[in-house]
Amino acid sequence: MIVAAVILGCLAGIFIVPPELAGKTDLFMDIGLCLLLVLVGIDIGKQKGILKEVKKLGKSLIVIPLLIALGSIVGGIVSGFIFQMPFNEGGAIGAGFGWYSLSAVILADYSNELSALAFLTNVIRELFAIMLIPLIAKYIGYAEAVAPSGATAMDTTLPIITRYTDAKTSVLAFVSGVVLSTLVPIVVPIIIGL
Amino acid sequence: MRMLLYIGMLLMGAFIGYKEMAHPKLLRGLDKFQMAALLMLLFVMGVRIGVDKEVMGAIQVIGFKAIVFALITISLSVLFVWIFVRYTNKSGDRS
Repeated sequence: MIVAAVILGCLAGIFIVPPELAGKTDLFMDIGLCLLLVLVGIDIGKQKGILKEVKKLGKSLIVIPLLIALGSIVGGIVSGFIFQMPFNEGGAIGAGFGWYSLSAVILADYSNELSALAFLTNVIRELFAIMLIPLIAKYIGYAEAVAPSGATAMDTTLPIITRYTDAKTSVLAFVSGVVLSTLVPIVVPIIIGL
Repeated sequence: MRMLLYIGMLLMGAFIGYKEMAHPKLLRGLDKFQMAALLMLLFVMGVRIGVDKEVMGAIQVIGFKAIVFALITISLSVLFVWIFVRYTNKSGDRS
């Protein structure tokens, strides 16, 4: 159903919705996202033992986001290697962590081609994350289900993580999203400059 | 700025949930309400991608590359966390 919503939206965007209207969706998206975040917050807050649970996570709360970052960067380098790209270009795309607008803007100074690839890769990463989170939560584990989201774990994919995991994992996801979002504007320029 | 807004929204919700200020009816319908809002948001996200001629054009040219990048970055992120969870064996379990 989650995937169907995105695909239907895509089709509507291609065939029905006039482009002028789409420019006006910014405010709608912001309001919708804020509403969802309040609801996710209520969900987390009503579970009384949550603070104790989060404390139990301890260092994982910071190690897991860093591992997600490392996996993304190494993954970018490996992918770049497949297409015979220099390691700094592949790594920089991976370091977008799903935040497509920012990574594309940062890389626009470097090359338009790379910027376009960073944008599309990270759009697709978000789409795959939406599809994979429920499956990973079910078959692999809750903490692992946070990994596909990257930086989007604090906004667009957080409600999905909340729905398919537990309150503790939702907190982990949000923290992870904040850490990774903070890293994007720092790490992408560093890697591309190597 | 945006991050502060998100944190504020979450904390506000958490406060409402913790203090049991939410109407019981809302609490019971929370799941459905959340799902409806989520589906709507995802639909609009899809519309924004579909309506963007640049993205749709780029998909035809570099789509395959982008899919490979997305899949491998996701896979290695999941793998690293998986190894960590198995190694420490305390978080991530469905306790």
